[in-house]
Amino acid sequence: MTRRMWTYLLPVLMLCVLAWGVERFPPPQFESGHQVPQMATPLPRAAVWDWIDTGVLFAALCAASWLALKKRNRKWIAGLMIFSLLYFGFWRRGCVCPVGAIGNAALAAADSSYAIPAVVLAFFLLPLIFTLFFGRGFCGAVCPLGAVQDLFIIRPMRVLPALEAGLRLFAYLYLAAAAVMAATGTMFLICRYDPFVTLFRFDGNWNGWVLTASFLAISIFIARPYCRFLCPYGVILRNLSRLSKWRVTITPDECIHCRLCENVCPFGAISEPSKVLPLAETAENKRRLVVFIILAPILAAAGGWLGWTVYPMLAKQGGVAESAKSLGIKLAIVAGVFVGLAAAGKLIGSVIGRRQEDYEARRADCFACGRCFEYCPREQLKRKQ
Amino acid sequence: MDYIDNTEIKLRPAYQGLMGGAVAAAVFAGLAAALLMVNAYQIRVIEPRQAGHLLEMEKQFDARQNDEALAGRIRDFDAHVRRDALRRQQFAHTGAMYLVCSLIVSAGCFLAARLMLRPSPVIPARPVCAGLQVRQAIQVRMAVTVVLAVVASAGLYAVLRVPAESKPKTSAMTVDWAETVKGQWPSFRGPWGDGAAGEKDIPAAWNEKENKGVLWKSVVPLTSHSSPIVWGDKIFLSGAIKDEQKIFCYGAKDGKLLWTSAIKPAGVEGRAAPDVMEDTGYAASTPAVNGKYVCAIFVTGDIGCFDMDGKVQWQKALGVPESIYGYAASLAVFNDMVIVQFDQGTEAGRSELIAINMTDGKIAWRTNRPVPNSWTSPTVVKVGNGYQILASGSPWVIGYEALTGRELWRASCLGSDIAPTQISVGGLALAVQPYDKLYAIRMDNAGGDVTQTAMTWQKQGDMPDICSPVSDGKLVWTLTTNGTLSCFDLADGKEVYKQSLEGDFHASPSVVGDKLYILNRKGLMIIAQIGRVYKEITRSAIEEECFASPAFAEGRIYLRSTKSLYCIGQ
Repeated sequence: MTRRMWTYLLPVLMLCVLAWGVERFPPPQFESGHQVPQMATPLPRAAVWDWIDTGVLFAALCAASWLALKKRNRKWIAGLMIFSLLYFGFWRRGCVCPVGAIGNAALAAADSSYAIPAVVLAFFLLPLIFTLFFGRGFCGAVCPLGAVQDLFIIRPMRVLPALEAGLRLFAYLYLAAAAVMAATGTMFLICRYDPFVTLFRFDGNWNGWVLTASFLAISIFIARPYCRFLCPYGVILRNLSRLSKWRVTITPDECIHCRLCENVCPFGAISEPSKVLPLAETAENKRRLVVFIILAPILAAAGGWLGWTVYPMLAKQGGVAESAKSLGIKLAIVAGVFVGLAAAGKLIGSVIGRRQEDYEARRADCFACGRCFEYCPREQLKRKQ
Repeated sequence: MDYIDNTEIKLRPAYQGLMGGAVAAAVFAGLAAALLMVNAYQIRVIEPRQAGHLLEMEKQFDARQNDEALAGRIRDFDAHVRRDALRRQQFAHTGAMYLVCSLIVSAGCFLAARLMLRPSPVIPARPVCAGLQVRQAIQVRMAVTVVLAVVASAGLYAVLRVPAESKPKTSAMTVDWAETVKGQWPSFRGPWGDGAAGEKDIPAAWNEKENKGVLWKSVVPLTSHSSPIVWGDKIFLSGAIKDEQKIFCYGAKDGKLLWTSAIKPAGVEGRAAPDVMEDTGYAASTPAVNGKYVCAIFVTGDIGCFDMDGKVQWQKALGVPESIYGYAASLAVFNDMVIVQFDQGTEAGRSELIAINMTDGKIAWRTNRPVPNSWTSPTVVKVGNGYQILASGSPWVIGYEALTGRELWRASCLGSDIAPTQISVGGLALAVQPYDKLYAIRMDNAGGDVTQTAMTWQKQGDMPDICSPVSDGKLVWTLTTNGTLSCFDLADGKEVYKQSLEGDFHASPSVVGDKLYILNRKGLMIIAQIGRVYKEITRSAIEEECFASPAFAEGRIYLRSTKSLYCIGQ
């Protein structure tokens, strides 16, 4: 079966999943004889499973980091990814997940009366700590949301770097909105609109299936769209990853500029070698840098103002309790400032020239999936030797 | 380099097995998808109740209600279509699981097979130059600017648009509903459930025995304790016995019974009729009307809606509520929604406040209530520019947003079995703890649990267990079943006076103009002057027993006795 056939067949099949979203037959209004069964409440899950889940997460993170940095084996990483999808996705039904734990963490930070469960806190913190040291191994091999999208990467297309940078701002916006809404007790936005929980639980409404099918269909052409353009946890991870002590390297020794890695990376995370800018352009960039640095507080203020202005409307729609409204306005201002600064950071980043001799995986964007080094001729040569 | 050539890899059994598995799983998925589409088409296109003319049969049954054979056929066919629908649902569920699993297997096999291949190196097609870097940087700046512009525009649009739309809507609705119900008596104790009538020229003296002041009197076919409601020139009553549930419409002009409509009791066959106290009866809940539709609910939890000419719009069985004395909460009405306070169970957890669209019977919203069974009724109140619905049950008095059912505030002050309905006056919600206390809670509160912050005052005294309080905006009166009338100052809850009245009292007192109307069980209406001293003006009587609270509209009083509906006027 050719790639082209897959390309056309899979979206059709995905749309067929929607057939599940059937309407319930209306309950009888004047039935007779039928005894409505009493609702039974299932017993809570044993606490030991929480610790088992945490242990599995810790082990998976260790394995992902080791496989990406030391073992450098794509097949094992893919195997771990499928295990994580089955365990954290289908077995644990997508909850607890570190992405959704942002809501719990935000609520715990804002409301001292809310005791965040230890397992949720562990799920929130462990991937952050690992990312700080080893890069985004969590995204590449442990996150079930990323894994399910990864399986559907059939014919990835290259997204223009500019478009990628622009779209990524929505993830910052999503993170800010989710944190404010969770902190004010309005809702756990990320969990409510988790695009894959419907699939993990084999249960959900029509809209849930449409969302799942849409993301998976897009994944065929745009690799991991949720991870790259929406994931709020990814925003934190990508920025921590910039500081990571160890990182994935494409080649074990020298780069031969074969561009295989750039060709095989579906996420556009490989940056090509670059030369020093011409003097005239460097001078112009310096001027732009000054302008953007001056613009940064203006963008932050504008973001804060927008947050302050939009929040009362959102609070009204979302049903925020009166007591949380003043806190919500403060948080909305902070969130707006955060998004404004993120945009300013991207503008400033665009004028800072870089100089590199070889093809390299960008720390922030690299999911540590292992595709690049798996196809690197130098890596293959080393393995043969 | 040998790894570039994939021919050898593609000939390996593992690769071929994986690709074969991927294709087989994809074919299976395609088959499942096709079957699911056929199933989905059948579910969506075929209307099960239309098939086999079930609806037609039901219409025929309306005309021939004693045709047991037809009833049996309807029942059998109804069960058949339900089984069929459930089977299709189960098929869709199972099929979807097969589809998703086969897709995952297919994708997994394909991915695994692809992992075995090696791509060919790509010859760089473009030179690595500083120009590219510069171009990309410009594009990034443009993209960031565009996204910022989009986000800012969306935010500004939302800010500018929403208040512009919502403000007039809110104010229009505020005016509309208050204006719409002006002069009407659409629900238990009037539009705001407080027993206060804005009427003037209400008669203060009549006597049935002397044929004085009674404009007309009509027989009510079914005895019940629900109160009359009035809209325009029509008066509505509900009545029920064990196997009959009806609503009656009378003409205000001459008391003629204009129409009678029935709700089929769900409890007749196969379901035990609920146990109710004789004092409660089968129709203690007062109906509600909004000028276009009238709704009635009965002790069985069956609710029906009729147009103003008695045509059934819809009917629902909410299920027999678990209520130790029998369900008695009256309906409230707000715009096109009828509000049902469905409190049930001996412990909190099963109670709800439900708003149903009167036009089509669809649930507009429903909110869980943390209370056990209660016998109070919901009341609509205006707070600021919006409307709230108040509902009481042990231990909470709760304010809900009328449009959405969202809980706004709650105060803990009640206990045990609560029957007196809360009222609102002067920004305060007044709730009665039977035999014990009267509570005043500020409604412009901060939201959430306001027990500590919004409790303006509480007064211990001889409090009623059935009758609801009434207020004229300065004073508050409570009336116990055995006739103790207590008057309190609304400002601070201090007792102003206490007066013993003769007789038993089930009907709640009313305030009309500067007079207090108090109806005892024997049909004697005691009319007192409003003031800080008890001063009886007159006594008027009808000759029949009264449990229902009176309705006031168009300068008339409508009294429901156990047998008749009276119109008192001039």
